[in-house]
Amino acid sequence: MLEVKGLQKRYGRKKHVLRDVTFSVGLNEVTCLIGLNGEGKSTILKAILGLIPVDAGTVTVDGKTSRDQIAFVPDLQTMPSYMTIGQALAYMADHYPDWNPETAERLLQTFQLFTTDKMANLSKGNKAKFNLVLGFALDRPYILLDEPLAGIDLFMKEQIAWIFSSEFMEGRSILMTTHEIAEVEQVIDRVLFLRDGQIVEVKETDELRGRHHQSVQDRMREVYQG
Amino acid sequence: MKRYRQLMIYGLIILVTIGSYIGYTLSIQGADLSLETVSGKPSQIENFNLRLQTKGMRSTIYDVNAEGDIEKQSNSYVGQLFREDKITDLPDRYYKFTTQMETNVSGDEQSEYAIQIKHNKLQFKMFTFKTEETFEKTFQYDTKLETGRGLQASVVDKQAMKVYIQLDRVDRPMETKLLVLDLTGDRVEEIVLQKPVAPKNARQFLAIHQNEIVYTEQPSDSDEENTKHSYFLDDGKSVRSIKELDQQQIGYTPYANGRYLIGLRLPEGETKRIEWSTFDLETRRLSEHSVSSPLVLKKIDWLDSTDEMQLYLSSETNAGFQVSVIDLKNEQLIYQGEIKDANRKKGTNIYDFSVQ
Amino acid sequence: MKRWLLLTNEELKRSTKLLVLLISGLIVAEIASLLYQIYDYQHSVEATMRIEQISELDAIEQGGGALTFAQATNFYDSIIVLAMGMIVLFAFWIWYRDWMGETKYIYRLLLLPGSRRAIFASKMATLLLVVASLIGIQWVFLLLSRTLYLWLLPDAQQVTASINEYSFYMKLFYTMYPSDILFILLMTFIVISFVFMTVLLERSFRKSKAFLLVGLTGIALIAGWIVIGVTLSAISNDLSQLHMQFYLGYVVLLTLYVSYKNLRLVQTRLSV
Repeated sequence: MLEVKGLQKRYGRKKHVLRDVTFSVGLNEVTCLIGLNGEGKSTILKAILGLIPVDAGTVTVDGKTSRDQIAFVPDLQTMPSYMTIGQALAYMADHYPDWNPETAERLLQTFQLFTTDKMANLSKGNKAKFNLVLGFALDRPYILLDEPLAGIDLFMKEQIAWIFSSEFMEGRSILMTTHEIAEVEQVIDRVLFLRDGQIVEVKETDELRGRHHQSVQDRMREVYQG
Repeated sequence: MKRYRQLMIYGLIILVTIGSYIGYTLSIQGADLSLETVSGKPSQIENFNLRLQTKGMRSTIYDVNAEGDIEKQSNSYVGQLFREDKITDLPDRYYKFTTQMETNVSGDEQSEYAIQIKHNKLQFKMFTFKTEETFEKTFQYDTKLETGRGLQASVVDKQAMKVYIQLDRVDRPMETKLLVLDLTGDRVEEIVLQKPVAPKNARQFLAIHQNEIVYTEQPSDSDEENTKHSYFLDDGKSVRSIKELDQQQIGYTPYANGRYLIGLRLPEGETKRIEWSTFDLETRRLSEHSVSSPLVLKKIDWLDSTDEMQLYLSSETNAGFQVSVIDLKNEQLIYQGEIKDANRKKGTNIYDFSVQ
Repeated sequence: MKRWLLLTNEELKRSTKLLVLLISGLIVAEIASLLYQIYDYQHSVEATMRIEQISELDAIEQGGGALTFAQATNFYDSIIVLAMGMIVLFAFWIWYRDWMGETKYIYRLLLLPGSRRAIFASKMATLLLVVASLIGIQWVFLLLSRTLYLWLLPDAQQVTASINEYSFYMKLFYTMYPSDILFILLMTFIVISFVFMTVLLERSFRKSKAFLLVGLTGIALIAGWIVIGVTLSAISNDLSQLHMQFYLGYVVLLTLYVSYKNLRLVQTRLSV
């Protein structure tokens, strides 16, 4: 279990971005972090990964503070533009002992990406897909995704969204942030609502649909507007 | 290996280029110096230090002493950082005094003197190199003037416990005075001379022998090298000009508590003879002396001397360098040693020379 | 070790275009300046011969003598200073480029498994390798310049002495003591450490705090010189002769401290 306890982050003396954020992500779960722009969603992911320092709080995976069980799929390109996809994969293989080249190969085929493609020439959608390859080809149980569907066309979105119900999800847990709720609503197990740097509500989607007859978007409106 | 391609390329570039530089440096030959005694024995003379500097690539400094020990100083950055400069260790209290703006420093081969005249006091400090001892005394000296502010004090000579000081007023050369400090007492006396400084002249005290003062005068606005000095002898009763010295075109240095004035005649080019004139203040006679050198001496620029009237001189020779020690009193060449470079490097020159 | 080597290789790969540009710029500028100096000198000798109606030898003497190698390579000093400035800028850029542009390589670096010290070490190693290669390349080019100089100028117009006659900065780099290359690299390490510190502070803290910390370090450097000088003089005259040595020791210690802090910043405070 990925456990986040008491995360606090401040920029300067006054701006509290995260206030005592506590939640957990169980195995084989898809958890979605929802919030309006600037609420701190990406900040939480970055804090979990150690990409930004926090003022307080802990992150553990099965009780350990090591982050080598967590993979990250960011919403931007992280490999140098001069690289080809093949070179980027070689880079990952060189640096990560838990890199799985077969999984990478299969994902490339699924997404119709080629090792000779240059990073600089990839479209936004293909970049997003390649980021997924880089994240999912690591044999790690927890994958954090930051806006995986942002700014790409509908068909690409569908291709990407497909991964959450594919065989690549076996034995994995997902924590993602997204505004594209509709595309992934069906695969989300749990929703965390973030407001003013705090988790204000946690809901199982089954509960939302079953008991409250609400979609996630409906609940969103209640939390942020009503 | 492909993963490390750039590293290997850079590594190769560095290996080849810097390797070429290192190879080049290793091919540079240093000097291979040795000292050979040509005449006399090193045991008969004081120790000296002859500092040579090779020219060209990797210019290096070599120190040669009377024993024939050769010490090489590395001019690498690390070598320069950890080099011990052979300078005299002056005691802190004495050194701090010499660094004050109002202190005038002068010296001879045996000692360094520091004088400060301020607030009607004359502070005198002396550091003797051989014994490394400091002597200090303060005298009452009534004057409105201060050293460092228009007044310049320098020691002309020290004889036993008397110190003779030339006191110059920077803007008034005609007011040069000669003072004598009695180090056993607390008196500062001004030695009254029989003749005032001639108008537009400057006076330089040269020697004091018993009660006789020898000084030179020259026009005060002239360039020292080219002007003729006029020599005067003041015996406390009268002044006479020392025409014998006036006629010589050489400078004189006092020896043996001012009794002898010796002027060397050093030729510009090569020579196998060292010649000098001696003026004996007791007999008032000028005599000529010389010694011959087994070696040909070229460019004699480096000289030092001792109290015992021994002249140490260093110069180039046909095969390298030499150090000669001449007994000026007995007109003898006591010692001569030649320094040769087995690698025959060109352009090596004398950097420094002194008696230790 | 392997991670460090891989990351260094990657940094070199990313910098290849820039470095090729720098090196070729250096060489082109130096050749141009050498040719210009030679041309200018020959032109002046010829003009003197023509106007004064005197022989070449007389014209050379009148013009102040033959053109020495140091005079011919007069501009090399400025070019070297420029190159040194470029290296300092590169030391800033080698970090900032990871945050700038569309690609945020810093994410990739900070997410890599293992210690983040390797990130710092790889950038430092890259700088040192670049400086070492520049020193080597400049040396070879100096020899080539010498050959060019001897070839282009007639005997009467050149000074055929050893390559000894360099310009000021060449003398600083090529002392003919191989160990001095290591000393130069040590100085490079010290300078780069302070540059890296500036970057890492800026990337880890608010600008005002970073500025303050950089300022304090600057003060420590300057004040160190003064305080050491005064303290040594107060203790003894002998020790005051060792001012430079003590100050260098102090700078080395300060650099070690700064390096330690740099590593800590990379490990705990560096932020995307």
